Amino acid sequence: MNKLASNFLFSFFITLAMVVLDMLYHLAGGTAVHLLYVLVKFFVIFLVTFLTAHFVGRSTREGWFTTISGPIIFYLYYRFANPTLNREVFVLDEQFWFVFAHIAMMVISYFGVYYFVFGKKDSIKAKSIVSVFVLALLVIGIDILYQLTYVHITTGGNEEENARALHFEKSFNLFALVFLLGLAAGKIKKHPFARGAAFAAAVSIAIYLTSFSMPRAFFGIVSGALPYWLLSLNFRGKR
Amino acid sequence: MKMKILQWAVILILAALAFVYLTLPYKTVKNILGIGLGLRHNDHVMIGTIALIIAVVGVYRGIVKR
Repeated sequence: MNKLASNFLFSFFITLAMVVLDMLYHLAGGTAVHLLYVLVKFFVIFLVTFLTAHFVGRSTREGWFTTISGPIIFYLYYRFANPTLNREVFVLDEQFWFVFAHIAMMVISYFGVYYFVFGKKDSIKAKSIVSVFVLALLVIGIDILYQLTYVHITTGGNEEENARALHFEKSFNLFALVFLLGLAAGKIKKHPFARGAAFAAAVSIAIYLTSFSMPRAFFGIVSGALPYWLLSLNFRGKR
Repeated sequence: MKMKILQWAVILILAALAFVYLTLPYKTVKNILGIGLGLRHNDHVMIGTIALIIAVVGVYRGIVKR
């Protein structure tokens, strides 16, 4: 894999993991999460992470730079942009202390992915738990993006409806279920393809059991298979 | 040396762009400066944010030893 693709995937994983952790945190705290907010945050964090990884490098030093500068720049965007949701109806994460929450999410996701990619070989057990944690975050991330996009399309871009689409309990239950499925899939010693297929099918069933939505369950095959396949690629590349 | 000067010049331009589009009020950008580009306020803020990200990463790249 060339340097560009390797850095792209590295940044994509970090950003998606960070956005999912952040969304779960916002849902738990009753702060509004809607598609445009998620897309802007994803874009800003991804751009900082990717440009730093590609033009400076990937190390713990660059990790600290990215984890601090990304959320601060996002905060600046948020302060100067006009809110698209009604403040009287929804609670927005406008307070300054959210920067620290975002930095904390970014630290977990950056160093989680960094450890997964560049961790030493002598800690296989810890590494496999971290990789399943990252995998579960990515699966939930793709599923949440599907849900938000679906609501966005079906409601004609109504952001207030979009902000009511996600629920903490359901999202967290699915995350816990996918995490356990990931651990179980790791026990299948045979062919990696069979392991991936079994994981994708199990994710699809888990999504159906938590949502009773057939289209979402079908898309769950993609939500499960895509991150599983991408994480199996060797994207260490040149640092 | 010439490349280094060019790099810092580009960073300064991007920082200025970021300041204008990110922080100035919509009417100032559109009517007084005349560089609204027919876009909404949030689009201006996003342009400023992108310029700021490139400038910040550029400064970091310029000052750290690799």
